Order: sequence, then C-alpha cells, then structure tokens
Amino acid sequence: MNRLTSQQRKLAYLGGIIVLMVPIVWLGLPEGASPDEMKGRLASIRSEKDLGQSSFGNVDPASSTMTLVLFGFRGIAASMLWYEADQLRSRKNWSELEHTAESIVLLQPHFWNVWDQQAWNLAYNVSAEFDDVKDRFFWVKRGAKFLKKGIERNEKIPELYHYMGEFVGRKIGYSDERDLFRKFFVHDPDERFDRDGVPDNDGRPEDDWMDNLPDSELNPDGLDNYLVAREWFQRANDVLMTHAGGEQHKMADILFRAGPYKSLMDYARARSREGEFDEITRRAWEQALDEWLHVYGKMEFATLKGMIKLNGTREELQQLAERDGVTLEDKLFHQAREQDLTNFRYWATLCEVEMRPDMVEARRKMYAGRRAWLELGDAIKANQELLQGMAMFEHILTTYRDGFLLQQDEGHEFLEDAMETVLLFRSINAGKPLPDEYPLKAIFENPDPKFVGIRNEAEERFSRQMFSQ
Amino acid sequence: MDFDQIPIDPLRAFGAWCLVVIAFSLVCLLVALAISMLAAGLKGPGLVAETLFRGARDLATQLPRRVGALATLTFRESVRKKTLFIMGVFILLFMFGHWFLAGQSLESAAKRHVVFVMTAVKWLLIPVAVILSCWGLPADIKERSLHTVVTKPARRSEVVLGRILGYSGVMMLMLLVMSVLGYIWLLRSVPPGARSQLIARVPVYGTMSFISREGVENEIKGINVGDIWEFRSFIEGMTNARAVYIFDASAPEVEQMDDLRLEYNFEAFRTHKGVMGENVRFSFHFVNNSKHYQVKFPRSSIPIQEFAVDPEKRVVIVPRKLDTRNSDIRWLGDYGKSAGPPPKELDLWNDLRENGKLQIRVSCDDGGQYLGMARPDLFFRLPDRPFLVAYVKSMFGLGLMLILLVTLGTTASTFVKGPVATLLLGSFLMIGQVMRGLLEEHLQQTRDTGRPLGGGMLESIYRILTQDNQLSPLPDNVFTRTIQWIDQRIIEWLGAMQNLIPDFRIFDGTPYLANGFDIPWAVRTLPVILTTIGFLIPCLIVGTYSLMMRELEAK
Repeated sequence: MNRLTSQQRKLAYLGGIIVLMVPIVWLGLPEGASPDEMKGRLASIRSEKDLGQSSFGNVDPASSTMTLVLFGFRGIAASMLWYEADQLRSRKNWSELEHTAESIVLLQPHFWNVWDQQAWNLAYNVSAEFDDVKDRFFWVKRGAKFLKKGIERNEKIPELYHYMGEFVGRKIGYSDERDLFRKFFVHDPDERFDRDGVPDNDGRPEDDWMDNLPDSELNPDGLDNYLVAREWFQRANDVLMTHAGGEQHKMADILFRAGPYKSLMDYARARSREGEFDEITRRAWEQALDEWLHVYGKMEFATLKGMIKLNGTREELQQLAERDGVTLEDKLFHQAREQDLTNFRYWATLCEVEMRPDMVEARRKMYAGRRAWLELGDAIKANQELLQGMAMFEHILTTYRDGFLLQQDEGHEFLEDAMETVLLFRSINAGKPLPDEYPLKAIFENPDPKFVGIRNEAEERFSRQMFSQ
Repeated sequence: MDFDQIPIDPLRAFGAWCLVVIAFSLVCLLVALAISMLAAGLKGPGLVAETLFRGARDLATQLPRRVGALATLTFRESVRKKTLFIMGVFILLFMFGHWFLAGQSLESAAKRHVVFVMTAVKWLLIPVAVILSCWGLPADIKERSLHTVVTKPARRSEVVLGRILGYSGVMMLMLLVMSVLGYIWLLRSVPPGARSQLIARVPVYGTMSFISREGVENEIKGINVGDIWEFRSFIEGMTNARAVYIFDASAPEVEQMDDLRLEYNFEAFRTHKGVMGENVRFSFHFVNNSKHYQVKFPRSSIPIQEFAVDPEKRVVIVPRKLDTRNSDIRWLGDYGKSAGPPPKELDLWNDLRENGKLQIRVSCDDGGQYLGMARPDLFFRLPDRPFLVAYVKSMFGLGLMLILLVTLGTTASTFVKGPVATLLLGSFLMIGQVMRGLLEEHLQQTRDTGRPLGGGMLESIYRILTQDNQLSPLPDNVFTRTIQWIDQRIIEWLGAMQNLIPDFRIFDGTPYLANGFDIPWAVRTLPVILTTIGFLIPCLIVGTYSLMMRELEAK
C-alpha cells in the first residue's frame, strides 16, 4: 500500500519532473539566434558537424511544417507519393506528376537523389513525350528549374550542380532538337517572354519568338547555353573542393572536374557548326586550349600512386613523386593512364587544329556549301564551296602531324565531319556521275573497319538529318 | 479525361440490387433460424416468424411526426456536443492552405486549389460522420438515456430513422457552411491568370471502333505501341487506319447548336523525329454512308496540341454549313463515278447525320507516326455551365456519401458497441475507398486467369519472405497448396463482400471538377443517389430488427 498522501505524491512527481528536465534542457536546448547564446548539447553537435537544416541550404517553411504535421508518418507518406508519381508517369499526367514531385521534395528536401531523379524525369522522359519542340523545351526547362530549386535547398551537394550543367549544356546542346533548343535558350518561345507582342518573323505564329527574351530563371544574362553550363560546372567544382571535401558519387573525379573546360569546347564547336567563324569563336578555341592545358591540366588528381597532373612536366611529376614517396615511373604510368581516360591529348589537339586559320577557312567553305544546297537549293554554288572546303579539310587531316588526326583512336569528330561532308556532296550530285577523284574520297572509301564503322554511323545520322530538315 | 465513363443502367442496377438484397436476407434468415432452433428448439422458427412480423409492423406504422421529433432531438444533441467545432479546424486549414499552394506555376493552378478544397472538406467531415453515428446509440444505451425514448410510444424503426436523419442534418449543415466558405476561398485564392480554368465543360461522348491499316472495319482496338498504360489505342499515319467515333446527335441540345464544337485529347507516338518544330497532324472525316458523303474538315490537317493544358487549344469548331472553301467534300468510294460532282455545300445535321447519328473518322496524316486515342478523347462540347453548378453537384455527391456513412454507422451501432461499430465502418471505408481499385483489379485478374497476380494474401506473404517474384511458380507441396486454397476462399469471400460494401469512390466528383468538367447525371449523380437509397432501405430494416432484439439494459 502506498503510504504517501495525495499532496506528497504530487510533490514527488513535481520533483521527478524537475530532475528529468535538467538533462532534457542540457541535451535539447535549441540553437540561439546568435552564436554567443547558450545552446543544448545536441544543437552544439549539430552545428559542429554541419547537420542542421540550415546548413544544407535554404529552409522551406512549408517543408518543415509538413514534416512536423506528419509526425512519424513521413516515410509512409513519401513512399505513397513515390508510388503515385510512378503511376502518374505511366498515365502521362505530367502536370500532376510535377506537382507530386513537389510534394515529395517537401517531405524529403535533403534527399538529393529525389531532386536529381525527378528533374531528370521531367527534362528527359516527360519532354520526350511531347510532340511540339517548344513543349519539349518547356519541359526541359521545368526539369532544370526543379533541379535549381533542389540546389537552393542543398547548397553543398556538388552532384546537383553538375547535373544542372548537364541539363543546360548537354540536354539542350546534344539532343536532336539542339538547333532549336539552343535558340530557344536565348529567345524563349513562351509568349510570356515576348518583348513587344509584335510578330517577329513573317507573321507565322510558330516562329514568333525571334526577339523574345530568355527565361531569366535559367538564363538571366541571355548567354549561350554552353556558357551557362560552364558556370554550373565551375560551381560544381568549387562546391566539391570547398564544402564536400573533394567527395562526390557521380563519376570519376577526373571526369567530373573537366566540366567547365569541356563546356567551353562545346561552345566553340557549336558556334563553328552554326556558321559563326568570327573572332569570338577563335578566341573561344584559344581559351579552351589554354584552360585545358594550364588549368585543368595542372590540377592534381588522386591515383593509386598518389597525386598526378594530367599536363604535369617531368619536373612537376618528380616533385609529386618525392612528396608521395613513389617513383617517377609510377607517376608517368598513372599520368598516361589518366590521359587515356580523359582523352586529354585528343581534346588538346582538337582545340589546336580548330583554331588554325586554314581549318577555319575549310569549315567556312563547307558550311557555305551546305547552306547553299539546303537553304537555297543552289547545287552549283554548293558543289563549288564544298569541293574547296573538302580539299582544304583533307589537306589538314593528312598533313597535320603526319596524319595524326586520321591515325589516333581517341575521338572521331574530324572523321565524322569528313564522312558527313562527302555524304552531302554525293547527295547533291545524286543521279549524276561523280568525278573519279574528289577530295576526302580516300577517307570515305577507306576499307579499314574503323573508317567503315564511322561511315555507317554517319550515313544513318545523315539520313535522319535530311529527313528532319 | 484519363478514364472512361460508363453511364449507369438503372434497370440493371435495380436487378442486381434485388439479387443482393434477397441473397443477404436469405443468409440472415437461415442464420436466425439456426440460432433460434439452438436456443428454443422446435419453437424457434415460430419465434423468428413472430419477430419478422413485429418488425414489419414496426416499419410499416412509422409516423413522420415522431421521426421528425427524434431527428430534431438527435440534431440538438450533436450540436450540444460541440460537433460544429470541427469547422474551426476547417477555417484554420484554409488560412494556411495558401502556404502550400501559392507560388506554384499557373498551369493547373485551379486544379490544385479545387483538389485542396474538396479533400479538406471530405476528410474533415468523414471522421465526424463516423464518430457521431457509431457512438451515438451505444452511448445512449450505456447512459440509459435511450429509455426516455423507448418508453414513449416510439417505434424502433423511428429511432433508427430519426438518428440517421438527425446526424445527416448535422453533417449537411456543416457541409453547407464549408461549401460556401470553400467556394469563396476558391474564388479569392485561385490566381487571376488561372481563373479561366474554373469551368464546367459539358461533353457528349460517342462510341468508338477502329479501322485497321488494311481497311478492316469494326476493330475493337487499334495498335499497341508498347505503352504500359493501355488506355489509348493507336492508328498508323498515312494508311487506311482510322478511329471511328459515332455520336448520338439527335438530342435537342446538340441539334440546337449552330456550330459543333469538337474537343479532342489525342496523343502522338513518333517512330521518327519527323520535321523538327512541327506537330504530328490529323484530320476529321464526317461520313454518311447512306448518302455517300465523306467530308474532311478542315481542309488542311490539324496539328495535335498534345497535353495542352488549356482545353480551348484542342477545340475544333465545325460550322453548321460546310462548304468547299474550308472543307473537302467528296463522294464516298466509287459512288462519284456515276453521281457527278458533289454539292458545293452540305448541312452538318441534314446531310451528314444518318439515323440521328454522326460518324466522325479520325486519320493520322503523317507517315510513320501514330495517333493514340480512347473513347473519351473526342466529344461534342455543349455550351459550358458555370463552375458553381459543377461545384454544387460535387458537394451534393459528398453530402450523399456522408448520409450513407451515417446510415451505415447508425445501423452498425444498433448491434455492436461504439468502438466495434467504428472499426467496422472504418473497414468499410478502407475497402470501399482506399482499397477498392486494388480489390477490383484482383477480382478481375481472378476472373481472367483464375488467381490474382502473385497470389492472394498468404501467398504474397510467402513470396515476400522467400524473396520470390510474382510470376515464378511456387514449390508444389502441402504447405503451398494449403495457403493457395485459403487464399482462394478469401478471394471468393471478397467477391461476395464487394456487393455489400459501397464503392465510395463514385461519390467523389473531384476528378470532374478539378479537370473542368460538369458532373454528368447518368455517370455520377444518378449512381450516387441510387447507391445511397439502395443502402438506406436495407440498413433501416437491419437497424430496426437489431434494435428490437438488443437488450437495452445491457451495458
């Protein structure tokens, strides 16, 4: 039997409560507004280890509220939403899918794979379902904007920045719709970005976007998509080195950090492909080469035998070898291996060749020939320009470093261009006997399996391009 | 719409209802006879007959005045229990709901707001209806306050009906207030740029068949392009393939239209990129076989506005008088060889309608591309109704759902205590609302293949534990045969229960309202009215007999 009176029992409970309050306060006191204010043990550990909500990025009040409201059922709710998102995707209910993705990230704002996966879903899978290129572009943007929001919530995840660079750079610049996508990135076809409401082209509503503004959320300065991508890749590298301790789980570090420099090459190459053979393009190639060799090439990357530099001199590698306690041969071996992995020599050669005046001229001629045929239907002018360009192109391919461009196996851009140009030439002269000898013929008809493979691929690509013109 | 809408057949529904009621009554009667014979021996059947007669007299001699008095009493009691406080939560939700909905894109903004209102109203009122109806009678029995009623000349059936009406009255009052507040909130909260999305389109659907690429008519399906979702069938471009829609164009509201508004929602499937920047195109062909006319309108093909959120972009206005300037009028087949040139102008209704039906064929006009469609993807769009009309109908459906819940809850509370009644009604809600789709899918799979994919409950548990997939065969032994046998019995039981548990999903008009459609009478409004009545009648009878036989002194 309990001999305590009711009052005594209540006092005992009160004492117990006060005793228990002490460790609770000691452990759980929240973080104060200023660093000087007293904070609990858990709050201290949280801020020491950078585990607080605010240390990940901006805190979304709606997300925090949602998490609180759901108590312990957040996981169940998130799983149900993932299931729903999957259902919506298979039912092609895109606007609802995006809304569901928004709900998922409310519940899992710092699970960065959600942002990456759903953004990818919108930009790649959903956009491909649409028939109109403008709609496809709209959904690519939706994906990119979604990812951007994820970056704001997770400022210290370098992978998200890298994905953003890929969305803006490669999704827009490498896809089949790239010619239109790249233009849309600077002149958004959405009527909300119309500058003046005046029809721009010849009154055709489908082309009424030529003087539109860019979507300021993704391209505030109206830059080329590759230059914007370059900024994102650069930020990915910065975050990787400053916040993530050099750790990312997307791809080999050496490839991850090449982003900004490859983007600059993409930019220069896109300009050449679009017929912009001016000083800006030449300088872009020059800068790309310089950064590739002297910025990227001088970065240190980890290998099994310590750090190496892709473009490190023997002396630099010797110093690294002494620092890491390995031999120079080890360093040279791993440098060569990493160079192969990144096609380092090939990309340097590409920049070097593309900025040569004779190569610029060759490309200019070939572009003029292509345009004369595809846009004006002028076969005579097209043949004339193409033959001149092809001759110059062949000369460079065969003479540059004793045919290095034809022999090397790292990249095939030059051979692909050669094959496609010959295909265009043959298509212009279809039904007519071709001359016995014409420039690039030896390359086009080369029986080497490498050449045959590239030719077959070029033929497939060429027929697709011709069909969609 | 991404689902097909099948109108109810009231006669067939009534037949099915009668069958279920008779079967249920027979089961109850047999159980009652068995129990009575166990308890009273050979006198049992006589007692059952007497009880049946008493119950019938009880039900037949109800007085509306007494029912009204009991309903009023129930209503007052509920209000006194501060039930209406739930509206405070509702107001709180609406004060902060904007946090979660504001700042998002304008596209389908109205839809999100509408879904929010409907969901909030529904899931706030359902628990109230369940708790009120399940706990009212048992609490009265426990507190013996029911004695003050049953000692008066009030019949048991009047008590049950009075309770149902009283609780329903409370629910309707709350629903009315919430509906008004919700509507005002919608008008104020939906961004101005998205208010045009608050519409109530009135569609008239037709029947659908396909013509294959070789020209074979009356095919049920088109081509399957490999989509997981097989809702739409596809036709191949630049072939004989057509989707054939036949509409009943004899209704006065259709005939009164000067111009026919056709709204479509087709899907493109490309086998090649096609011309970059251009849509896949299609055409409408109006066909009258008896007069040998085939009219392509408009003359040039229509670009598919795939997934366009604004429905106006997918509307084709067909003028009543079709002339050769904007349409391609031809004789059908070889008829023109002997008939001379076709007329310059045709009247949509007089020349192209055949026995009151209008046949429209859809062709895909891009070679190598495919056009996908389902029955609800093409419809006549009658003049839109105000959004308020669809909103009221939607809330009406929700109101009937609450009445049904109150009916079921009150009935359950006549034979079990409050917590058990709540559990029972909760299970009904779970099966009838949340799990209904899964249940129907499993039963359909059982009808098609003899068993659901991956087996029933026990087999599924076995497969999860052994990390086995849904398709691999189970080892043939006594254990697996036993669990499969038990699963089969469970499925059969679920098949029977499917008819006793209402499909609560049909009461929810949100899919229509949120997508800008009016709530159709034959597809939604009539079925929910009939379902509610269909459950009210047997529930009243069951409730009366249960209350008659219940020991009201028991705690």
